[in-house]
Amino acid sequence: MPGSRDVIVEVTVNGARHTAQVPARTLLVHFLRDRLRLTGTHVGCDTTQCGACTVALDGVAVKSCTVLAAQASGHEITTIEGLAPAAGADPGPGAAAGLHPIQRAFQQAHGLQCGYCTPGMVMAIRQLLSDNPDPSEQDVRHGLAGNICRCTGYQNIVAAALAAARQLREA
Amino acid sequence: MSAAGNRDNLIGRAVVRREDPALLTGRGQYVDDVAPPGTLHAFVVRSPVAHARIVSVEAGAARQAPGVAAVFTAADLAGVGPLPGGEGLPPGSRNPAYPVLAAEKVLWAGQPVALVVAETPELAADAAELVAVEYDELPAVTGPLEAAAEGAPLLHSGAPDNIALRKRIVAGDAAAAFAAAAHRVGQRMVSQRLAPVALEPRGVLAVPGEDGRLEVRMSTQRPHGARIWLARILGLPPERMRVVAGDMGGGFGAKGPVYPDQVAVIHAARTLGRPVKWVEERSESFLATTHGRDQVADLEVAADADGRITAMRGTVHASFGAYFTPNAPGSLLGRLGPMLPQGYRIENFDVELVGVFANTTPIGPYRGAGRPEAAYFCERLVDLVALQAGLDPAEVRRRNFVPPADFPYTSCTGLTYDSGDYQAGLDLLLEKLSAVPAPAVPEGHLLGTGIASFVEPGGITPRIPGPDGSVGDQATVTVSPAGKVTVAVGTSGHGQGHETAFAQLAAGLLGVPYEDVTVVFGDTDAAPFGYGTFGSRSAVAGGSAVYHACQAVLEAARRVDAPMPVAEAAARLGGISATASSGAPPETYASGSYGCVVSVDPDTGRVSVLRVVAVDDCGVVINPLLVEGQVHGAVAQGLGQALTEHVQYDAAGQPMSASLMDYAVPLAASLPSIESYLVSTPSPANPLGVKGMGESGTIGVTPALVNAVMAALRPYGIRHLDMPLTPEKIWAAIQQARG
Repeated sequence: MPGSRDVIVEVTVNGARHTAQVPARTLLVHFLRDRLRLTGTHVGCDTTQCGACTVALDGVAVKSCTVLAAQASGHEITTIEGLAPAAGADPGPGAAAGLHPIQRAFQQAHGLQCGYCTPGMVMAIRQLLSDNPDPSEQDVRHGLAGNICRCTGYQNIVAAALAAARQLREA
Repeated sequence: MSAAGNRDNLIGRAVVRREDPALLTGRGQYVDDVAPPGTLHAFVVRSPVAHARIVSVEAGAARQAPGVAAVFTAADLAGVGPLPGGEGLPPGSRNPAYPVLAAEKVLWAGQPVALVVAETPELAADAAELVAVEYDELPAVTGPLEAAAEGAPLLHSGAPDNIALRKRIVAGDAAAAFAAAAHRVGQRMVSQRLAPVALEPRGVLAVPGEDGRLEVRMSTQRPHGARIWLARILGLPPERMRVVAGDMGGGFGAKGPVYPDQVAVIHAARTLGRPVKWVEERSESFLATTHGRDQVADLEVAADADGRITAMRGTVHASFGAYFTPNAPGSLLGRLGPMLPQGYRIENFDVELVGVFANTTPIGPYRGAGRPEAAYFCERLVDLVALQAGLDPAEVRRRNFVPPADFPYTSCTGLTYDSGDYQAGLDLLLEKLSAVPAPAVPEGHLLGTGIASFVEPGGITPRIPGPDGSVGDQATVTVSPAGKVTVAVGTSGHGQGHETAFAQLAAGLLGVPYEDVTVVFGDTDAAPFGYGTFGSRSAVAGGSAVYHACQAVLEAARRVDAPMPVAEAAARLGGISATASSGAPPETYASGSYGCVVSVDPDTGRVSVLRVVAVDDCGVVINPLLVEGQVHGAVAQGLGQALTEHVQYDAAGQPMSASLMDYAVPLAASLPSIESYLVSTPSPANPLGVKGMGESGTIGVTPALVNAVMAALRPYGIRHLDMPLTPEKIWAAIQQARG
């Protein structure tokens, strides 16, 4: 059968090392979800349009539906589960502990509704703000071209990104 | 904190959502996130053609493939099905049996024919390629007018045509009103077929329990409804089944019905005695998940010399796709048709609604579900009246609005609007539109401003009794001896923020701290009966149930010898619990006026949306943050319909838009920042004064945007273009107008 050949994948995910034998055709997103049970990374399409599966590979945002697990071998992955600093930091009024400033901004700005696109949005905005710490509204809107949200009309996602940018600049 | 003060402080406050921390950190539990040990995976073999007789289905090779546990075809599903057809059909309608797996014919490209179950999703997909189905292809028909035409290919055996239903709504004397009219304007208008595209695809996980009970996790807007439907389809007592929705990645109406693929997966789990999971792929979703809209209206209105509309008449052809889904007829019969008069005093009416079957994906409710179409058709015609009469579009609306003193108002189509002040909403819109000077645009670009006013019915309660024989959504409010409150409710949110809103409501009503309230829904074991969430009904119906249950708890607390807070009474009494039903509260009629400012580049036909101003009246607001979020999202979907979205088929019925590469949902860069405002006319129809508003953006913005583009194109004498207003379409119309 096609795809029956296995490969060994050695990868560091959210700081923890993992070694696994998987079919060569295994996508990184399925490896994260099915093998490591990190189900915060979502699958929303099959054509690399929606961005729900965005993770960081060696610090750079990638769509994990378009990376083979084998390609990630030897690299470091950060998923939505690994983004926030350890709990204990002051989360600010009304927000929960254990949230990264981008995640906190999403809650404060009502930047999510169903939450399905949200992990990918947060990971994409992490990249966007890393590339451009002081973006304009239009910069954010264009920077999110690879992420689809069907609930929010993007308005509060953009607001969250701008608020997080302010906070990260001041931090 | 006093009870009264707490109510004032909590209801109406922009509380940030309690749902968010889990969803933001990847700890949501969507159906695909749950994987019990030993779970098998399913792949659905679907028809690759739109219309064919099935000659043979050969599954032997697939059954022998590596890792395959079973292959199911129609022959393996004796006693299972059919799916529920359409509900609430007028006499003389057709309601063809909708099979779980196709046996004799396939009626759309994507109809399920077989189900392969294997150890991994990949092995199931591999084996599915070995299922050999021989098709004898037939001519297909896809559009509503073409399907209704004489000589069209016939879908369902024993029928002389593809007409599914007909209903004529008549009031007054339309013919006489037209004969006496100073102005008569008519237009053919299309509300094109759309795909809902909830970002989480549909899925199901069926887990047979050791006690013989079946647990079904599925992305559904209606857990109790799904349980009742599934029990009937599978021939099981409902109490042998638990349906759990978990977290849901949006629904927009498409996760209301139960689907044939889901039934086949559940049957497989029962047969194999193992958990079976299936989640659709996105490209599959474009074929398998219900679409919305797909109507052609030929309507005209009559008006007197002052622009007062006296009559509306015509025909609306609506496609239902290959089969009825339960709520699809209601979107046409209860929404689109009766809502055509919108917020205007139109006394003469004669419109025929014609429903047809076609070789396309079945239609279901999609955000708005008949409301956006009715508003679009009416509001385009109102602008055409203004154009012909030489009047300002806002003035025509003002002259026709139902005035505040006339509420409750019964429309000529028989609906009773609870309350409203339509002019107040329009006035605020006009004020906000004129407060900002016209934006600068490149030379030669055409500016246009368009408005639309609308009425949104919400809060429908199906007249289908629950298991205890009564009609209504239920809520159970329990106060523990420690003063902690649990609210379990039969509506079922999927992204709207119900946990937060119902916690605000219960804390406000009971006078307890917000943090002490836990909200439960989406699980038929944990939440009492309810119809789920659709049709902007949860604040009205679920909210009313929570209100009545809280009143019962307060009443029990009052029976303690001295007045005291609820928590103290609960400590004295060893806890208090009360279940109450919403009953069937009358529907609410939210309203609004929306405005769009656009520019059109005549050299490319491209529309830029410069401003969207939304004024909504949804009565009492529980949480303005959530209301604004609903407006934003619905506006985006409405702009998608107006500008880019269109499910298309070729002449053979092959889908041409079955991926996110081909079906253009709005992106962040294609949308402006929406300016959202509220006015408030509380509803007298429920104890909270709330009105359902989850769909308003799709209703208001679509006609406002098209009216704006038509205003921009007026120099070219272009009277009407059908959506989506793509650059190509506008450019071609400009070229034609230039000669």
